[in-house]
Amino acid sequence: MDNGGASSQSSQLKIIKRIKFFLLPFARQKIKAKQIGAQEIVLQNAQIPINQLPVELFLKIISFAARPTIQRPYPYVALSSVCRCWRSALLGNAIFWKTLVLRPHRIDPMFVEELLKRSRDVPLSIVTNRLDELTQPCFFSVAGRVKTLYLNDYWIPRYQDSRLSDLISSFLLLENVFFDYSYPTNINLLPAFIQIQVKVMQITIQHLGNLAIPGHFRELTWLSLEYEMNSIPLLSVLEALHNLPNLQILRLFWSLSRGIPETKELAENSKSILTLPKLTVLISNISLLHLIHAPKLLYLDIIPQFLYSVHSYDDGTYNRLCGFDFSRITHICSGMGKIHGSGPPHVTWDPTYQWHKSLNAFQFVPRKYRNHNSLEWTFGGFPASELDYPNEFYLSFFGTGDLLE
Amino acid sequence: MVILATSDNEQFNVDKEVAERSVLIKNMLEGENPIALAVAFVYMKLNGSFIRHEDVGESDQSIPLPNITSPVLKKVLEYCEHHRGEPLPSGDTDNADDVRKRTTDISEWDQKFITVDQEMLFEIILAANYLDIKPLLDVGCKTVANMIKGKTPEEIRKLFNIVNDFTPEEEAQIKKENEWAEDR
Repeated sequence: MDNGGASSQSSQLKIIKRIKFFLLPFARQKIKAKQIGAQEIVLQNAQIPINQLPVELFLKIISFAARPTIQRPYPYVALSSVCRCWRSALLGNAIFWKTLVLRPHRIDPMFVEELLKRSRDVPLSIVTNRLDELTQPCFFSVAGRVKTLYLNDYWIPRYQDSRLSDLISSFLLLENVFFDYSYPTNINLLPAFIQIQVKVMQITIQHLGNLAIPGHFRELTWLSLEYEMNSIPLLSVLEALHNLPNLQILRLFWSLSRGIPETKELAENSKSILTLPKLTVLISNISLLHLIHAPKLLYLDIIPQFLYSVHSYDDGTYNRLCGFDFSRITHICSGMGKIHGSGPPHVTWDPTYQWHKSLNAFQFVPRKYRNHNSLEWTFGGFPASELDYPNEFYLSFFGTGDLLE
Repeated sequence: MVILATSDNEQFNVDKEVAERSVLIKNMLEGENPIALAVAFVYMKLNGSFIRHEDVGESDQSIPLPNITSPVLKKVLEYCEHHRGEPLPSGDTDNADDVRKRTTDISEWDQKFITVDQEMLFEIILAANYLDIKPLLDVGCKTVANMIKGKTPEEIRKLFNIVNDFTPEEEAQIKKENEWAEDR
């Protein structure tokens, strides 16, 4: 049986060898043809106008076409799968892979490693709602590359201090920190940053209860604080700002008007006026204008608490009438010597909006109207002749409340 | 007036103010771009004419633009003519992190101007890059970017006539990456 089996096996092998002998050249030819075909396609793709652009122009187009967002942090992955030419250009440029969005239970370590490899040695931006995700082994070697940290981590108050401190102490390059909170709360994490980090330049905090904390970052050049459903102790604002001599950009607004009476009291006391020597951009509720003096201010964007009313017309359209006290603007403008009177009047005026001198109000149709809590109205410019501000001046409304209907 | 000579030997008489929308030409006229001058020198010598450093900028001398054909230069000049007198962008305007600069809004006139076939569009981009006309380069790049925006890789391939040239192994890797990325 065995012998018979062996001889049958050997004859089968012989047959296979013969078949191979005849078929191999054809198979090789087929592979070669395939290879030539593939090369032709690559060459053909290389002739396409967009692929003939210099790489820097192609990458410029890509940076216009897509940009990472929290919702879609990796748009370049899809773009790198168009063809080899695109993939090579995108993978060859580390800057496209510098942002990592880490969400618990949804992170594939292999993907993270791939992104870290592609980002080579460029500074990283990390978005996470679990700071402890960064304790993964693959991050220990790159913690020193983290330049920007977006953090909306509800768990921070529960972390052990030592663990946090260890982690934060390894962020040697950290410059920008964005804290995004959905509840008014003190962030226990901040003292750890204060203790170890002196290079925090930029903070965005939403819904933070303790205003004094940002004041500890004396290097801050950018401070953005947003509040909703939260009253503002303006004295705390001043205290915090007082500790930030390098502040250049301040964005501070809140949606409730509880600060206004306090503002008036503070404004009556001239000692309360704080000079911010380096501030060039101020985006704030109008109440704050009473309290600060910014000699180098170049851009002012006011988010006023305002009154408004609606005028409906028979044809179904409506106009809104809003108004506020312009003397508040005069206060800060009179301190803005470098703006006031500098250069020729350059005022844009959208005829949709009409200034009613007698009413001390603008009449305008909002571009967007969604609901009471998400109004975005923007309009540019005052008529210089009427308001006597011979400057380029921009006013935008970002109404989120206090709309007395 | 400035005379610009294209690669297909056409000459364009252009107002200096219009021609100087191009930083390259502006520098040539001011004698501040030795490389461009050298290129022009060699080009003109090969073409039987002679150009001296001090001649550049004088009205009877043409500036050779060997990378640009006449139909493309005509379009570029149309743009420069329309935008004459507008302030030129200053220095470092290419900060990739600046979100404001990454807006892909294009003005109405520019949109109409740049509504051309793909071949011409990319020629304009290359010409704007060569001539160093940043606003035009931005319009061109933004136009292409807007064509790409929101499209799948397959739709992009179709748009530009690109053939999928990945091997099955590469395709598998790419598929995995896309799944990772979409799952964030």
